[in-house]
Parts: sequence; C-alpha cells; structure tokens
Amino acid sequence: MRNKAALIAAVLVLSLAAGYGISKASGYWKTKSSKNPMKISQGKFAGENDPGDIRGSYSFDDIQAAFGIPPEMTAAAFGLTGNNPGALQAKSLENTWGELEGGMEIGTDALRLFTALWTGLPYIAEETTVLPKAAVDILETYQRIDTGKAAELRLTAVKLPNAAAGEEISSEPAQPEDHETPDRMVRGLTTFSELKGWGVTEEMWLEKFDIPMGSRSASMKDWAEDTGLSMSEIKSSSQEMVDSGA
Amino acid sequence: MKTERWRRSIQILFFILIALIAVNHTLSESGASIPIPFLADASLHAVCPFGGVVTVFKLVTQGGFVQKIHESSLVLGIAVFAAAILLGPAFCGWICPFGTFQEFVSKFGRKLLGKKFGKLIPKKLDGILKYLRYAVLIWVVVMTAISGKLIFSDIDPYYALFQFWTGEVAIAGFIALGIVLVMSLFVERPFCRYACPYGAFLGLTNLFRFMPIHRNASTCISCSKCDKACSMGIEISNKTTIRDPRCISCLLCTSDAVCPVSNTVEMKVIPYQEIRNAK
Repeated sequence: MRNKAALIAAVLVLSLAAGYGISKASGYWKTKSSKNPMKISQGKFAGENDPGDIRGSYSFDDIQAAFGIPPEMTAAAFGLTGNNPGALQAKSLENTWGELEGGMEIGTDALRLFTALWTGLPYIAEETTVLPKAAVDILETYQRIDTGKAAELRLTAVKLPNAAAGEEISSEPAQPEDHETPDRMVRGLTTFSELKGWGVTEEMWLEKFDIPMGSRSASMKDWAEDTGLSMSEIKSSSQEMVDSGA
Repeated sequence: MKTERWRRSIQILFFILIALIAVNHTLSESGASIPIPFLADASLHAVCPFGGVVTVFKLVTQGGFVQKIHESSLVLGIAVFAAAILLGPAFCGWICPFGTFQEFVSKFGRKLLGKKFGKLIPKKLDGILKYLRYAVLIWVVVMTAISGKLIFSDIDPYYALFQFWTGEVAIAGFIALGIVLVMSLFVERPFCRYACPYGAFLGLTNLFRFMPIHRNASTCISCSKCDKACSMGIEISNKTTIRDPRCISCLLCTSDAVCPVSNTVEMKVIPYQEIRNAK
C-alpha cells in the first residue's frame, strides 16, 4: 500500500475490530466482572471462593451466589434496604457510608470482612475498615462468630442511624454515630475511638499525659497497662476532658 | 497533507468513542444509557489496553484479573501489541485520546509561544527525563502485581480527564492532569515523553518492528524539517532507521508530510540486504 497513513489506519482499526469480533464470537469478550470471585489458592481453605476478591460491582445477589449470604441479611447488616436488596451493589456502601469520622471506613472492604466472618473464610481487612454494629449483632445472633470475637469487633463497630431504632432503612447518606455509651462515662473498656468521638483531641491528651493516645481500638485499660499509669488517674483525667469538651 | 488528515480523523473518531463510552458508563450506573449496542456500559478501564499489560502477572500466577480489569482489556492489549509489532506504537500517535488531548492543548501553546514552544526543557534534561516513563512502567507493573489493584488510576491524568464528573477521581489524578495540561502549553506530548507507562511499554516495539521509519541518507538534504516535526523530540536527521523507543509512528516526519524530498523519510519494511549495505 503506497499510502502509509491509510495503511496505519487500516491496520489499527482492523486489529482492534478483529480482536473485538473474534473474542465476542468466542464468548471471551467481557467488559464486566464475571462475579465469580477467585478461589483461595492455598491452605486449608484452598478451592473456596475468596472474600478478598469481592469487588465494588458485586451485587448482594452475587454475594449470595458465591457465599450463600441472603441479600436481606447483608442489606440489614449494613443499614440498607429497598424493594430489591439483591440488586444493591457493594459499592453502594461506599456511596452511602464511605469514610467516617477519624478515617474509618465502611465500604467494599467492610463487606469482604463481613462475608469472611459469615463464612469462616480467612480475610485480613484494611486497618481503617470497621463494621456496623448491626453487622456484628447479626454475625453473633446467627452464631457465625463467638462472643469474644463479637466483643472485639464491637470495640470499633459503629452504630448506623437506622439500625437500632427501627427506623425505615434507606440508603440515603447519614452520619454514623459511635457505638452506645450515652452517659459518656469513661470506663476501662472505653476505647480511644469513643474518646475522640466525645471530643477528646490528641493535643488535650498530650497536654495531660505527655504520652500519645493509643490506637483507635485500644481501651483505657490496655493503655494503662502499656504506660504503667494508674487506671484511676486515667479515668478521672479523661473524664474531665470529656466533660470539658461536651 | 493527506497523512495528517488521516491521522486527525482517526484521533477524533477514537476521542469521541472513548468520551461516549465514559459518559455512557456513568449513565448506565444511574439506570440510563445511550443505545449503542457494542458500547454496552463498559467502564473506561474495560476499554483500556494498558489494563491488559498490568494484569498479565495476576493472570499467569492466579488465573484472574486485577480489580476493574476484564477480558476486554486483555483482548485490546493483544490487538494493540500485534499492530505495534508491525508498525510500532501507532496506537499512541493515532488512537490514544490522551495523546490527542495533549496535541490539542499544544496547538494553543504554539500560538502563544511561537518559536519558543518546545524549548522549555533543555536537550540534556530531556535526554535524562525520557527514561522516567520506564521507572513509572516498572513501578506500576510491580505495585499492581503486589496489590492486585489498579493503583495507577489514582494518579492517571487520562482517567481524570474522562471521569472528572464522576467523583471517583483522586486529587492526585486532578493534579497530574493539571500538570500535563500546563506542560502541554510548553512541550509537545509531555505525558507521553516522560511519564506514560503504556507508551514506554509499546515504545519497546520500535526496537524490532517490521516497518520502521527509514531515512534515505543519499537523497536527504539535511533540512532538519523532520526533527522539528517530531512531537517526541527524536533527531531523525542523523539516523537511517529510526529505532528510538519514543517514536509513535505519527508519520509527521515522512515524505508524505513535512519532508520535502519524495521517498526520503518513509515507513517501510527494510530488506535485510539494505540494512547490511547501509552499514
């Protein structure tokens, strides 16, 4: 072909068209995820569907097909509902809840964690991932986790606005609240996550104790043991901070 | 200027196609979509052939695709690579909508700066920066293999350009797009030259492509018009066969475009005998 421009145009268009045509005809062409999660490749769960491969485009129906969790259950765990919970997608969690106060998140990764806990399959969630309190309640009620694990999860779990009060569940964005301690009483099991939610800042803490706060999931009791300070001192001083911030 | 007309037509065609796909995907997520059958509601990632490159490791080792990448990306990646074996990275010079976007912005840059356009980066620095895209390529491939996620999309200016309305673009993506936009006013195709990992990958086909750009030294009048026309900053006038990985097969340097002597700079299959004689 003398006209090289026409040659390039023809080769490019034909190669793309051939690639599309052949793969389409053979059924290989896919522009969406197959919704079949990858299998766990090793260990005692080898061959099982991998919760870590759940993607934002997976619907709750897809989750049921792959992991056997009823869509209504998944929707209730994450404070979502509608006429067709099965059609809700994992990424709707991102859109509805997403990033919470303090950098915590309820999104696709939280669904992976919930699925792993429900099925007993291994999965290590990202550090910022938390579950709604309703999800922990469901896991415990249906005996998917023991009380010890439930207590551990509740340290960071957040209470979604529509989950406990029997309000009509919707997927409208809402501000989650920290889990229940309505009296704002600092106790040994109170976590730094709760303290921050009650208005205690890192600066206030440093000014008082001259030692940084613990991780969000660490309790006052843990911190007292780590630092060697007395629990009563921590309790009284932090209570003052909570009260002054209220 | 027949060559340029051909190229522009293809560029505009694919720019519109990708823009339609991007808009259609957004519409489909809200329940509506443009009724163009084969577009379906593919995401931008699903029609990006670079996805086919970054997913290879996971495909080989685990039999799956990295997140957001599908079979379509692999198919397009193979098709583009097959074409590149014959013609070099013509995808970059003829199809890539982000290359088209940069060229469009550079048109304004040329008007604004006149002869100063393209002089922002000294040759020495350009000679070093041209390797940067290989560092980006290695980083992207390794990190994608490790994480199983499409990590480049967070800083991908192409993704930012075609998804800016979705709320899914990271701040870093907008910053990268802003930098490319501003730099395109001073330099031709800055992203392609210094940062594009896919261009770096496809550029390697220049080393062995069947139809390279060839300069006939015996008829060349050394006017250097080919050098000035090259949007990737390659000095063509001192080479016989262009094996520079930066060549994007735009054909702007050829006798069908700026070269004033016919059959002097052209893309052709170089017979082995001719290569030997040239040596």
